[in-house]
Amino acid sequence: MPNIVRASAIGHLMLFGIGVDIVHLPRIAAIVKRHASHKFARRILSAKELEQWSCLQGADDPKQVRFLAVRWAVKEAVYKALYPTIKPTWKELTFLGLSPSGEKPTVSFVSPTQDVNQKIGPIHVSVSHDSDYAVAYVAVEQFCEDDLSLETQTTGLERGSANRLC
Amino acid sequence: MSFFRLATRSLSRSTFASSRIPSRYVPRARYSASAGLQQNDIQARVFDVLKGFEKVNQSKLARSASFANDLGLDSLDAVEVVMAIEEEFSIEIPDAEADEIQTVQQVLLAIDYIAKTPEAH
Repeated sequence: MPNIVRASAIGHLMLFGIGVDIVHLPRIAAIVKRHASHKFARRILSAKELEQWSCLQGADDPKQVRFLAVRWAVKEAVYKALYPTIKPTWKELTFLGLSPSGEKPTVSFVSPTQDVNQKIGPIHVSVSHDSDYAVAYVAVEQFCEDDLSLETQTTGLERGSANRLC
Repeated sequence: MSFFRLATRSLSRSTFASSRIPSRYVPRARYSASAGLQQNDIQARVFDVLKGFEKVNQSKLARSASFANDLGLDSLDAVEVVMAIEEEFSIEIPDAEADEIQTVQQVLLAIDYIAKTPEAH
């Protein structure tokens, strides 16, 4: 494990954590159907995502379900990647899918805590679908600032090997 | 789908805990914002909501039951439980509190807290 962590440090960035989540689309479809007024969407989507969601109102159900399922999976995966140092809430995370011009999907994380925003680097995300399932994989980098990164690693990862270096 | 999120949440919610009144001290009639809602009624309604979830192991349904460990619910179920509770009691549990709820006891405390704190609506 320490070797992997060390090898991942590139320049001033290093790996903070990874996370994965899988979701069964029919479960999301059932929740959407059971609760009125887009309650589920309003619970898990950020303001920006809700705007996109409102544009989907005329779309078919599977498209709406997929939109929610992907965001659910991505946010759960980010949560796992940041845990236990940081515990993001639903609306602090915004997922942007593949852009029309072909740019990779991204996740933005805006924490109310400024220290957290300064510590967390790029969040990489990959999403896949197969019929009834969607899966999201996330890798989070952190800015490596001398003692700060060392401290995060020793508290954030398994204890006992405090000799990890950036 | 994930048990992780549920299983790793912090258990302490002092905001709710401090507002709770032990039921044996509750007077004959309460004229609070809860409009006469009694603890037992609230608990029965919460249990009914949970019974509506197919996968809930009904024999494990108790005040102290944990969503993940006792009732077999995962994080997606937990979000739906909170939404169902909000609908049942016509309340809105703030996101930060809703995210932390992972036991039946925490649901009851959240309802109690909101009932007694009109500005929390």
